[in-house]
Amino acid sequence: MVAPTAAARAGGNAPVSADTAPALAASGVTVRFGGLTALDAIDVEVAPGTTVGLVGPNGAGKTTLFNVMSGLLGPNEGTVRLAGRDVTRLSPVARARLGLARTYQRSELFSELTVRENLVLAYRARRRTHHLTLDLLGFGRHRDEQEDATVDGLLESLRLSEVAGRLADALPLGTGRLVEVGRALAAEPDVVLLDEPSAGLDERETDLLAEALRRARLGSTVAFLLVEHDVDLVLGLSDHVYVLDFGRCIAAGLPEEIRSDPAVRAAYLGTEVES
Amino acid sequence: MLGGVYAISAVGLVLTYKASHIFNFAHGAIAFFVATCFYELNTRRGWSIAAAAVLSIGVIGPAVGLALWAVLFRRLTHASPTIKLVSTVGLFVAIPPATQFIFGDEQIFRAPALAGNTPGVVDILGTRLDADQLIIFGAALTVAAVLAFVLRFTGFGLSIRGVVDSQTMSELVGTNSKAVSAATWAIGCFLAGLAGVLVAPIINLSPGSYAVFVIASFAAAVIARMESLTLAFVGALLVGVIQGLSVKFLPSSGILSHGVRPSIPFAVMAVFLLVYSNLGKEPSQPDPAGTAPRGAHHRPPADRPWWRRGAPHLVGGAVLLVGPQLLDTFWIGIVAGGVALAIIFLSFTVVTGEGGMISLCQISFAGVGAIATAQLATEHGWPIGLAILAGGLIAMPFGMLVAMLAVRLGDLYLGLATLSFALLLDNIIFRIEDFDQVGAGVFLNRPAIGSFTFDSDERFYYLLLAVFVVLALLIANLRRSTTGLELGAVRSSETATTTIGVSVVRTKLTAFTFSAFIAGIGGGLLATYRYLALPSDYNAILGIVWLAVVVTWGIRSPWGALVAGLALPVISQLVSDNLEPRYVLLTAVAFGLGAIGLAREPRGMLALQAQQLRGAARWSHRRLRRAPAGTPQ
Repeated sequence: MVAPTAAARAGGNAPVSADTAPALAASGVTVRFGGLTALDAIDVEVAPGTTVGLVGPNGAGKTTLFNVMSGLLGPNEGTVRLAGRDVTRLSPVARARLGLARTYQRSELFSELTVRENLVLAYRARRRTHHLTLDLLGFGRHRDEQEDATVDGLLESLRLSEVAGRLADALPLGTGRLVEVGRALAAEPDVVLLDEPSAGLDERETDLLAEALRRARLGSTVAFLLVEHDVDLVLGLSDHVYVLDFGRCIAAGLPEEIRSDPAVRAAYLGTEVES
Repeated sequence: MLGGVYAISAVGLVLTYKASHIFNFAHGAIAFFVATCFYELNTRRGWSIAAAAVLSIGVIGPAVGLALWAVLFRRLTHASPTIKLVSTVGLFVAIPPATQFIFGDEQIFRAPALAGNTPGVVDILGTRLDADQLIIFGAALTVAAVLAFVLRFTGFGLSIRGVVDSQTMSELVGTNSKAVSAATWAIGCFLAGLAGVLVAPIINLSPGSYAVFVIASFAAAVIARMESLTLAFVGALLVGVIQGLSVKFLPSSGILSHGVRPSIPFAVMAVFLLVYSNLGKEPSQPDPAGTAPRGAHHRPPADRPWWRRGAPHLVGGAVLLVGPQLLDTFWIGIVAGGVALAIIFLSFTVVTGEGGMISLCQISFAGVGAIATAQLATEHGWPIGLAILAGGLIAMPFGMLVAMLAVRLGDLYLGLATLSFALLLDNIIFRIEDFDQVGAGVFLNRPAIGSFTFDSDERFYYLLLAVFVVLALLIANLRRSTTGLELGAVRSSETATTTIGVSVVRTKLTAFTFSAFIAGIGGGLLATYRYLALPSDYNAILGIVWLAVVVTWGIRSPWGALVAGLALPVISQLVSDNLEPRYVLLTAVAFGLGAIGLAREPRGMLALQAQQLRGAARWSHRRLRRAPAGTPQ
């Protein structure tokens, strides 16, 4: 289903039609920090409309891979593609405009904006509808009904309407996580990278998060790549799972295959998955 | 020759930065203070050189360091880079006038150094060196040797290196990092004082020349990327050597020698900043933890009803409209000048308030505006109004250029880069004969609409006020617009800004360029207010004072800029009317201290007072409501 295609595995520039191309594909991504190989020829693919999980112990290279995919870090080798297009040399800004969004493990909210403004800006950034001259003259404040519908709908589904007018730095940790997810979704992206979205959330908030992610997938083609420590959450949400350990991909497959894979259990899951 | 002094000063600067991550803008001011103490003791009170040196350099210098650490630097360790920078800028502004207030502000042109008034001359290998020069070399070498020994081989040195690497770990193993940090400030200020006394005979003993002198040490610190004491030492010597060589190879008269030679340290600093930023090697992170809350920006809660939000604006507007009618013509003139300044200060509201960047070259954009206005009006016969607008537009590419070169740098380095740009402009562009007219400046008329002139200060006041209001409204629109959201995002998290698809560089560039336009307009207006465009009125050092004043009153709101603009001339005038002239110096001290107060209330005095007013209102409100319920008294 989401096994690497031949073209992507070859890592070349073979034309891939946009319909069949994965929403996001990393092939042969290698990152070295000095003598340390943080990522060793990693292949990951995310098909449109699916959720792909990425698990692995601390230091496995998950966040490094995210940074390579979103363009904050250049890989030593390998390519990153968005909907078949090679974006390895594109800036994070260009990738975001092509439909890639992400959240952060440590909160990177726009603390000086309100919760609603966080989402509004993400929505507008993708569309780039404003112009400085108009902004200065005060014409940049038009009410956009579609913007309001999208943003308020997201706030509603994440149960954030109550805090919409509050500054983002005055939020409890769990609420802040939900705002991060909301901001990522507000851009109406094709792919969202979720970096441990449930870290620091209590059970109720985790359920809310999982529910919001499921709902976001309904009726849209948005795909998620999900890094998580909460293995049950990952296995529950994902269509496909990759397991990283020490910068290598040690297993990949359906959630139930991963759950029963002896190598994975030994390396990582064994102590955590009781069921 | 200067290289040795630069080196001593630069080592002190880097040492304190390493230990506390505070870049001491006031290093030169401290040097000036200690040098003045030495002059006072030695020349005025007739102490022997040795006694005066021991007391001023050996005791007063370190004591100043300890005192500043105790009252200020100690609290700043975990502050945001912006607040650290502005606090030392405040010291930079406050210390020199405080010194002059204490010791008198007469010009001292030839101050003796450690060799006394009649230094002997020695021949070494065919080079003639006087005793002062020998002492400088000796001192520089001693400082290098002693510091190297202390850092490498003593327990104290080990503690310093430990605290530099990881304060938390050092404390865990039992080092008292506070004591270490205090000690480094004492050493740093000792070195500043030593350099200050040594350099006294070479430059004038005046605040301005010390401010410029210490920038060579800034250059050396940049070369060392705030890390390596050795590189700082070598870099400082290098700057001195290049400056020395330039005497030989540049013609001894004309713009090249007068303009280029003094600006060599600034040019060196600019070049190294650019090289480091282009290599992608951001010089060491000013805030390695990156977790310190920036905290300099808050917004008023939007949930108060519109009439309560609007009321202060209405009251303020009414005062501005009616107020001048109550003043005599002399005071209207003073207040009009204040509004002209306030227009320039609005550029700080944009670049620092909205953009979150510390720019020390806004005054240069104002100078560019003033010069352009004067040239277009006098040489090319443009109408004044059009020339002022053109001045703003001409300042824009300057702003864009600075931003493109410097905006990628971190807070501290952006400050240093803009400072070196301002100094380069001072020394090269602003000295061009056509602009400067041998220090006389270019005469300018005030604008006129047909036969309706603005020669009366009262009319000009209302014109300036109208321009101010228009620009303030533009800023208010900007803040509420998408661009305003983008600026808020950049101030909060640059990483997240890029990954939602907003270019950080572009956003900052926009703010910088717009602020240059405002400053250019303001500079042109200030020049026509004075009937004079004199480039040296727009020098970098004054620009630093301006920043301190704006920050004191409030960097976030146009009202802060307005009050700051009015406060500067009005307070000086009030003081000089009613008190002895030397008390004028104290107003500068007050503004410097005000900027330091930023550490306490990032939004500035106005916000603080507004908060207290609101608090008082709520309190009396509650009392009133409670009164009927309780026993009437």
